[in-house]
Order: sequence, then C-alpha cells, then structure tokens
Amino acid sequence: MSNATFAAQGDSLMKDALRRLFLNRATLVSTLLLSVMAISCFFGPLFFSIELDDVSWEFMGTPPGEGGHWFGTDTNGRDLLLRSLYGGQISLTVALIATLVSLVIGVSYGAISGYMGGRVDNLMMRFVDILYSMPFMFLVILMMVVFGRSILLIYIAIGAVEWLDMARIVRGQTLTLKRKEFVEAAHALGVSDRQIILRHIIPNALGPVIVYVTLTVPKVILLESFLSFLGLGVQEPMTSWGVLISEGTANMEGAPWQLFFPAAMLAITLFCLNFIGDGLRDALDPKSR
Amino acid sequence: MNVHTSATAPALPILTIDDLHIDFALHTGTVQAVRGISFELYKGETLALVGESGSGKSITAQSILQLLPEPVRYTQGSIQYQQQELIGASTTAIRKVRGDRIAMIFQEPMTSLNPLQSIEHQVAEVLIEHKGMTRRQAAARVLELFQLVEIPDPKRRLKAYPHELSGGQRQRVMIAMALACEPDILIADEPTTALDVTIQAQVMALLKGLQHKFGMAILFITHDLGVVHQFADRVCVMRKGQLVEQGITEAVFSQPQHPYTCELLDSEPSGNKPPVSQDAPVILDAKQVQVEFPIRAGFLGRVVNQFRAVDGISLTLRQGQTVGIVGESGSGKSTLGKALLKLLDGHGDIHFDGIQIDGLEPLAMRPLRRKMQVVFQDPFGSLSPRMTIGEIIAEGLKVHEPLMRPDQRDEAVCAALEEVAISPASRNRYPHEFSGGQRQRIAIARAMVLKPKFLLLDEPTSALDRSVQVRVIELLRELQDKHKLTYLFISHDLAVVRALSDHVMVMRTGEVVEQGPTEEIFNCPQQAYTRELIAAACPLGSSAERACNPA
Repeated sequence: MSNATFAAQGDSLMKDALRRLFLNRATLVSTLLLSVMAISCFFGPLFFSIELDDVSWEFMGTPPGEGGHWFGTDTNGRDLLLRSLYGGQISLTVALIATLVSLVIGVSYGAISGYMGGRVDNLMMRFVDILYSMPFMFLVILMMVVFGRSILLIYIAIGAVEWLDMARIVRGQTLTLKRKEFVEAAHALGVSDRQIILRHIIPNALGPVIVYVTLTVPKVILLESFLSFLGLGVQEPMTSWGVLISEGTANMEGAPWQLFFPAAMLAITLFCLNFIGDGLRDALDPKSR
Repeated sequence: MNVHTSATAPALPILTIDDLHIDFALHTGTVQAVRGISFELYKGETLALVGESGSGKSITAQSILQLLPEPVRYTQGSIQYQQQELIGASTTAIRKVRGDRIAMIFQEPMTSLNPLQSIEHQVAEVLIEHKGMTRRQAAARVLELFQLVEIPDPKRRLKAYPHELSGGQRQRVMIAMALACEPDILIADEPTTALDVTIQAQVMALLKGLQHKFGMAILFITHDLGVVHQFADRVCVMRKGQLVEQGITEAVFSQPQHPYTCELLDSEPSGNKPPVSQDAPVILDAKQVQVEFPIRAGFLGRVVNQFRAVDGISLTLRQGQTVGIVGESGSGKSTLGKALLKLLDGHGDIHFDGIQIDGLEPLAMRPLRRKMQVVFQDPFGSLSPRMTIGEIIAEGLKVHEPLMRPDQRDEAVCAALEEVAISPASRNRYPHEFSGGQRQRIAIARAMVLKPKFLLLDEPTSALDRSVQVRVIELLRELQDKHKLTYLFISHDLAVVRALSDHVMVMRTGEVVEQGPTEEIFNCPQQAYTRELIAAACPLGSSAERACNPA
C-alpha cells in the first residue's frame, strides 16, 4: 500500500479543522469581516490627509457627513472615523496580545498543574490563588511606578491577570482527562509526560478553552478602556474604542454618533469573534463532522 | 404474532403494544428505531425484551412512558395500558400513569439518584407526589419500603446520601422508589448490568420475590441471556427494531425458531485453552506485589492511613500462557494488573523478561514498555477522540522507533489494522466513527503494532455485546497463536475467562482466594466464594443441549 493512495483521504486534525472551519458560512463571513476591520484599522489611517489630533475649527461636534467627516467629529473637532480607526488599533492589539498571553500561560500552566497533581498541583494553584487575591489596580499602578508608563505595560498587565481564569479552567479539564483510559494507554505506550500533555490533554481540553477565549476578548477590551478612563492606559491624543465609547456616552444626548460609531465597530468585532469561536470549537471536534 | 402463550395469565393483557413504529427525524435523515413490534404483557408475568445494543429495546421501553426526547415520531401503532392509549395522551394523563401505575428502574444506579438529597427524601417525594401523603406518612412508608427491598439496617440508612451506598444498595433504593406506589407494571431497563454477578443474583431474586408479593408485571430489558433464562416467563427477541421471535422462555431457549435467536444463544464464548508446557520461558514473574493507596486528610493532605488494594500477590506468567484474574469490582484485580506494568506504584519483586522492573526509573522503563502492552475495557474512553486512528496506532512507533520513516510507519499501521481485520483505508477516520467492537480492535492494533511479548487485557470484552465479544475473543486467540503472546486477562465475566485462559486466579479484597488450572477451578471450586461466583454467573448451558433448527 503506498502512502500516496491514502494521503488524499484525510489530513491531520489541524488541516481537517481548517477545512471544516471554512465550510461553516457564519464563521467564514465573520473571518472576512474581522479581517476587513483589522486591515482598515491598521492601514486605513494612511489614506487620510489629516492627523489624529488635527482639529477642524469650523466642524466641532458636527454630525456625520458634514465637511467630509463620514463619522462626524468629536467635541474638539477631530475626525471620528480616523479616531475610531486608531482606537481600533489599540483595542485589537490589546485583545490579541492579552488573549494570547492568557492563552499560552493559562493553558500550559493549567495543564501542567492538573497533570502533575499532588503537591506540585497544590503549590501551583496556591500561587494562582495568591495572584487572584492581589488587587488588579494595585498591580497595575505598581507596574507603572516601577517601569514607567507605556502601552506595552497595559498589554502585559491585562494578560497577567487574565490567564488565571484560563489556568483554572484548563486544570479542571485536565483533572478529568488524565483519568481517561486513552491517557493511561499513552502512558503504557511509553509516551513521555510532555507529549501526553501536548498530544492528548490539550487538544481534548480545547472546547471550553475556545469558548472562554471568545469571552476573554471583550473583557480585555473593556478592561483596557477602564484603565484608560482612570488615566492609566492610553493617553491623549491616542485613543481606543473603550475611550471613545466612554466619551460618546457622555455626549450621548447631543451627539449620538459619537457613541454609535465606535460602539458599532466594537460590537461587530465581538460578534465576529463569537462566531469564529463557535466555528473553531466545532471544527476542532471531529465528532461534529 | 399475537398468540396468547402464557397459560396462567388472565384473559386481558395489562399492556398491549400493537404494531409500534418509532422514528427519529434527525437532520441527517430519519432513523427508524422501532419497526412494527407487537406484544402483550399480562399481570404477574415477567416478559424479557432481549437484544443487542441498537436493537431498539430500550427505546421501546421508554416509549411506553412517553419518555423519548424530541425529534421522536410515533408513525404507527399503539401502546395501550388497560385500554388507555398512551401515544399522544395529554401530559397530565401520562403523569398519572408514570411512576404510579407504571414504574421504571434504570441501568445506572449511580446516576439515577440525586446526589444532593438523602435517599429517604427521594423516595418520599414519589409518595407525596402521587399518593398525596404528608411528610410524616411518607417517612413511615419509606421505612417499610426499605425493609421490603432488604436494605440492611434500613432505619439508619434513611438519611444516607447515594454516595454512602454500594451499587447494589442504590439499585435497591431505585426499586423501592419504583415500588412506592405499588405499580401494575415495572419496567426494568438493564437493572443489573452495572452490578457484580453475586449482587445481580441478589437483586434479581429480590425483584422476583416482590413480583410474587404484589402480582405486578415486569417488563425486563436486557442483553444478558443468562439472566433471562433464569427469571423471565416469556421472551421477545429484538433485532434492528423488529421482533424476530417471542415465546415462553423454556421453548425459546431449547428450540429457537429464528436463526438470529440461535446466533444469540450460541454467542456464549466457548472453547478452552490448553495449558502451556512447564518449561516455557518465564515472561513475567512477580512476588509479593503490594499496592497501597494513601488515605489523606486535613488541609495539608497528611497521610493518615493506607488502603491496601493489592495485598501480597505472587504470580508467574510463561510464554504463551493466559492467566485469567477474576473478581468483583473493588477486588483489586485492575490495580494488580497496572502495578505489574508499573502504570502505578507498588511494592514487590517484579521481573519482566529477566529484567527486574520494580524501582526502575521511568526513562529506563520506556524501552521495556513496547514489550508490555495493555488493552482497556472502555472502547469509548481508550481512544483519544481528537486523533485519527492512524495517529493513535502510530503513536507508540513514534516513541519507540523515532528514526522510522513516515512511509514505513504508515505501512506498519496498515499492517496492524489488517491484522485486526479493519480496513487500512479507514485509518484517517476518527474513533467515534467506529462501533464498540471495532474500537476495541483498534485498541488491540495499537498494542500489537509494537510487537509486544505480553498483553494486559483489562476487561477488554466487558463493554461489548455477546456476538461482538465472541469475535474479539477469536481475534485474541488468533494473535496469541501467531505471535506467541502472553496474556494477563482481567475480567469479572467468568464465561470469557473460562474460554480464554489456562490458569485462573480468583481475587477478593486484594487477596487471592483460589487459583489453579481453569477447568479445575470451574469444575470443582474449593472455596465457597468461588462457588458463589460461578453459581451467580447464570450459565446458559451448551448448544449441544439445544435443538437449534430454525423452522
């Protein structure tokens, strides 16, 4: 039997999952939409002749459409479309980096802790408990004092907090998975602990992890806006969706567009992420085929 | 097919099922789960509904109480309880019947009780709901019921929670709950499948005694023909949603009319294994194996006591030999097996293939692992659901032969699959696409691809239907002959152990009760416990006594 004859009939989980992912129409549309959103946030501003903090004195707080400002302007006369795009840059980066940090640390930490069990597990989880009990604000302010103010710190601070939940979820999954016979069978085959965690534990724990990731993203974006609101996050003239939304909320009665546009962009992003998360979860589960 | 066979029963059936069709409209298409079955149930009789998994027997049982979940369609036929049509009856009408006139007990006594409520509370609830009793009246009645179902020390047990009871006791609580309203019909859906054989015999005897006392009809759903033979008055044999044969138990068992019934009856594992010569090389030699589990308490998990799961067992396995270890749940048989393979820590002198393996570091153990493989009980749990079966089988090769080229590895996987009679073309499929028997074959292929000398078979056939079991046993025999394999076969199923092993060891609470050559143990057991086990296993008798000539 030659290898080539069968190669066409099936692929690894990853390839297979990708194929199934794109068979899901909602996921496909969401992925496209999210890509458009990301590309326009990062490259859109290049096509503007104005700067982020350029003020047009004759158009202060004007509604959309006037004076070439498609999304209108804010109370200081700055173009809302441009600000929304720049805000997107920050929010999307925060979402990406903080989620990745929480995913990588949380999944590996939780899987190792749960798999090792016993004293190691006890120690590792008590450490998590200690971090949980530290006030988040205190942690951030402390970091600001020590390292100075930078946007990178925000990413790290948020990621450093978010992985705790993830570690707990993955540890719980691991505890049930490691009692399964297929893990025992792998052990009997002589597979090393590292490979058991990578090949047997983590792939089977992915379902809840992905669901949790889709919940983490909005949480992270909102956390960033909260920090910025307190003056600990991004600083003027830079902005983020969270900041724009909180400004928009203040002017909601007089200038509803200032709330509507950034909120709509955030909502679309979160919507897409939820669909992608659903699609990913199904695609990674061979049973849903 | 509606021939009235039971001579003792009164003229009017208490339950009539006529030409019942049940469909499930799934998005992948319509599944016809039950296709035109008819039978009657009379007061005071036990009717067994027998069939393998997927035959529609449980669906039929659940349809009687209208318990089937949505996309269910009753396309044809009727279910009548005392001339009252149950299909399409209003929810209130059904609820009056459910639990009151027709009660049901399920297979899993572990999951059918609420772990957060005391058993008294749960049984009392039925009485309060259906009989309108007050709490106090109900409490008195619950005590009566517990005495009736012979729960030891019932007064003290009243406030117990399900986890404080053994499996058999839980099933007794379920029976007490079912009997609370003195139903006319008791539907028992595999009530003893999850129990040990000796407990099973006790529970069945209890059911029989209660039936005698109350004169209720029992509809008994099972795949275990031994139990049917002993307890049922009449039998209905189901296959793929159809009734292939029904009649009085004795008649069906002695003169089956349908070829499928014959097949079922003959699927009792048969044959035996001749002992190997005394000078065959020793593969595994273990002396005084002990496994202890620490019992921890307190905040820091201080060890307060040791639970001894395996207590000083010695055994020797020679090449080509099959040693069967028999015992009920909790006897320590699986623990012993795992300790021998160093899957968990134990004490004692263990030599494998001439090398002392106790106290060996995991890394030093790894090269030996390929010589000793294991097949587990649960064909659903022992294969990782996110790997294709090709990846699953190749995993051991990746560990032990890291230099093997991918195409060579693929060839080895194909060869292993062919050896267990599964098409190599399906190696890119996932485990859930295979049936229980096929999965067990895949698990065997995963072990065989490494060309081991020794296989630990930990209840490999217990989760399978009898007919599938027989084929797996044949496969194991074939492999043993071909590769001179040595088996350690762990099972609670005496028939399978008898068919496969040449030496048997009976275990109880971590100790050996009795051991010796298989036929000696089965023909003249020395210990009372062994005799009890063998008696409780309800053997069917050999096919020679049966006139298997379908009309």
